[in-house]
Amino acid sequence: MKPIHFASLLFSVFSLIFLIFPIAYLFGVAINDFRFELISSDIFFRVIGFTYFQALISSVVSGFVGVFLTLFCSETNFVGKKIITRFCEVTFFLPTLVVVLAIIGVWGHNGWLGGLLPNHGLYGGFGILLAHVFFNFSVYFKIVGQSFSEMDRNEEKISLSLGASRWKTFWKVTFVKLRPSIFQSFLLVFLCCASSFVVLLILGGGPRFSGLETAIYQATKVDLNIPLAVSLALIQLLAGFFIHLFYRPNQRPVIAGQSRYQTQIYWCRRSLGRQCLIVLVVGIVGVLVFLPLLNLLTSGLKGFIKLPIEELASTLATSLALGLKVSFLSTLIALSAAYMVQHSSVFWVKKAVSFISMLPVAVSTMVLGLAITVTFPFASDWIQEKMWGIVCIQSLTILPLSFRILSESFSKIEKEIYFSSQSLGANALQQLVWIELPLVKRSIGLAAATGLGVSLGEVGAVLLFESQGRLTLPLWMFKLMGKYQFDEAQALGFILLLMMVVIFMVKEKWESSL
Amino acid sequence: MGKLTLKNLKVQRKSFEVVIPQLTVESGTILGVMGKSGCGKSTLLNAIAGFETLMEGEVVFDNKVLSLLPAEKRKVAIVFQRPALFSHLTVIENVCFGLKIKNMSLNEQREKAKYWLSKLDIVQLAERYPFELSGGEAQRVALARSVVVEFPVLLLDEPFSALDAQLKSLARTAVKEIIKELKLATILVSHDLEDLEALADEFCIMESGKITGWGKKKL
Repeated sequence: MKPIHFASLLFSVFSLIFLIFPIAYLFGVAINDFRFELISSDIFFRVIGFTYFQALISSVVSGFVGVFLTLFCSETNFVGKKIITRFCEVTFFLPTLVVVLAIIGVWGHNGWLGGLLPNHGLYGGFGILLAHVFFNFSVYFKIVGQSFSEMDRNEEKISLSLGASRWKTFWKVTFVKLRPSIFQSFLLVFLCCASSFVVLLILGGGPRFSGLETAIYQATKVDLNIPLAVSLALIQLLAGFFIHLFYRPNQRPVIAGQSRYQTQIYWCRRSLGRQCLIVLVVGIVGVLVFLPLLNLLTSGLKGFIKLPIEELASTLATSLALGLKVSFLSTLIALSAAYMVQHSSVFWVKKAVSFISMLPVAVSTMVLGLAITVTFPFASDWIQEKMWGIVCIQSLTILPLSFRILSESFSKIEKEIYFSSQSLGANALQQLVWIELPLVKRSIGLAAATGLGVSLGEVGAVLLFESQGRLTLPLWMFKLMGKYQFDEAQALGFILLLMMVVIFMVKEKWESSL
Repeated sequence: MGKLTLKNLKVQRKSFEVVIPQLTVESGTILGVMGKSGCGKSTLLNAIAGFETLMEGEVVFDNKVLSLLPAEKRKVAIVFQRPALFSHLTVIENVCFGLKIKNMSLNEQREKAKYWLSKLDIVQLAERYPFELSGGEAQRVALARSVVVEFPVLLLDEPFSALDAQLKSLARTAVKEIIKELKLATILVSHDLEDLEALADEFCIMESGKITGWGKKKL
């Protein structure tokens, strides 16, 4: 069997069984059993309206913060810029539950700055917006920053030399060129915010701020009302697919640190205004990112003594075992997909594989989980007890990221390399083992580290398929928060944060050497 | 003595066609192919090596129809304009690559590789990685990698274009010696007349995918 046949078989079987068939089946069930009476209900519209309204506001605010920070940090040198940049890049990779806990530590009723908030406090629209901005401004920061760093800055210099003001130059030259990357970042962030689950569940603070994902979770796990869950999932799926039609990610993955370049057009003058902007930037990053993480670190240390060591060890082992399985599976599937795209001679096969690999961007964890539950009711033991449901869903969630990393790496191999090895007698398997795998090994490591990181912090699929007696770190944190044992939860958050920092550092190192 | 023969060869790339009714290269001789950029020189080499699908015709060496075989089984070595070294392998590992595929013992591989590296005056670079080499050194490694396997046919696709004048002259001498020593049927594609004058025994001129001129070097 040639490697291309093996890769095709592996990718086709996995994506058909766990992605395409369940989604198609869910579509069928939802259209057949759609509860039309829901359309006329107030709650239904409130949930949909709130889901997309909060996603829109969160995406726009994140955009303002992210674009401003990336433009400013890219052009201006100031003390502490490196740290600020690192903070701006790391937030998207932090586990949702850790961030939510850290935000509660600062802005909650008993938090460091909780007293500054009005009556409603953190819980509600403000908390949701704060958490979403925390995660998502880094998407704009990195994607727009990369686009900015690749721009020909001479055009701006010519515009200025022709007498255009800085503002006009920004609006007519710079912004026009950044618009595609801002739009793509907006779509990605909108999709993330519209499928947000943990943030709305914990910081929503009640039914008034319930979103589609929390409603699907409640219908599936609490009310056991599967027809309702399926009807809600259909709306989420259609909206996701619609947005996905416009989502065209940059062909190159975003490389951390690339947005640091020397050309200074907008912020180069040494003036009081510039000093004020530096204070503003440090202030935004300090309050938005640094304070919550600092709170988690200090509070987490206090909670350690309250943690039962045996339970901690077994939870850590479960989390790591799950993470390694997900990391292995997602990397293997992404590698198969990337290999198919690189070697298939049929154009539509390449397009189809790329489309399917990126499809999970449009399908939320909750919808995917529901689709698998509805499609395979007979395999509930395998899905739930053995945790394979979580492994498959998390692997699919990571697939777009891993696929992009690996397909980019494969596409960098020059055709002359292939021709040379073939002319020397190497067959497809020898070429794969001796040439391609060594050349993409760092990307494989990067994809695996991404898989491990995402899996360790993921809580949606874990909550949906939780089985008695099996705890992962985020699930234990979630349960402790439900019992108001915040010290212990913060200690677990601290551990999870440390693990993420280590994975992020390894990822950064590999990314920079690609 | 074998010979490489192209019979009624036709290769199509979108609306561009390369058509060669008959072409023969004897072992130990070098055929120089001249022509402007885009006239089909590299397409011709790729077709012989098996990287382009033939619409019609065949590539034959010693009565063996190479065009029926996949690229990896044709025993046609090729050197490109860019050296295309395997960046994760050292110089000696690059040169041994083809020998490893032949399942040769490690000692034999290294011995053979060192012989060719010293012949090309780069044996001292054996343990270096491609990123540590200059353009000329890398091109010589690519050449060593292609000749060490001792395939009867060698295709050179503008192999000297990235070298400076002094290196070019040294490289040409070394290549000529190797081809004569191994008696390889060689096709050299170049748009540099000096390359062709120094190396080729026979010439042909290509225009718009067709051979429009033919000649032999005066002795």
